[in-house]
Amino acid sequence: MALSPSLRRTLPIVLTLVFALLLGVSVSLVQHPVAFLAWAVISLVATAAASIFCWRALDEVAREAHKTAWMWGGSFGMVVAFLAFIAAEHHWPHLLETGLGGGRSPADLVELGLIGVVSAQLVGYLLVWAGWWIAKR
Amino acid sequence: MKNRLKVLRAERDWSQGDLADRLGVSRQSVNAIETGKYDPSLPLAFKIARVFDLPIEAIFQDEAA
Repeated sequence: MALSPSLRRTLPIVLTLVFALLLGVSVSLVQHPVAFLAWAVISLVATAAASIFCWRALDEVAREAHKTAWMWGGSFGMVVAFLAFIAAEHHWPHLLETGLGGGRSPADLVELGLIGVVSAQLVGYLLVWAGWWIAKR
Repeated sequence: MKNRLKVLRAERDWSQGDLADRLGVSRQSVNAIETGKYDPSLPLAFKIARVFDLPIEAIFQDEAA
């Protein structure tokens, strides 16, 4: 069965996202520390390989959109998250201690920081990516 | 950079999707190039020239020149 050109471009992206999601969920289900680390490394390598497959399926205009989105959206999102955490630490510490993470331990706060920064980067990335395509219409 | 993609497509009665399939890119990419909002790389410009069987300078014109 011959796939249409648009499906040939879209399918690797969808499969990679599903693949990464399944691996992410499976990693969180592994309890033993060594098995967890081993499976996490395998998942990381597998997801990286799938991402290369996905990247090669994109044309140069789509690649440019992703590169621009990561450069500007990802960087700006990271800076916004840093500023938000610094502001919260100095002026609204109760937000960090009780409101956002649900825990007070250093590990909870580190987890909150990581998830917060990556989430802000993703939001910035998605906004710039969508804006880039809207501007090129 | 200006280009004659729309005219060349019309002469051949090709849709943006038809040209996209011939170039191996998305229809949105063809639209971005055609409207002058994205300048293609040299490899893609050469590919476009091959598809239309024309020299690159017959398709793309540098506005600064």
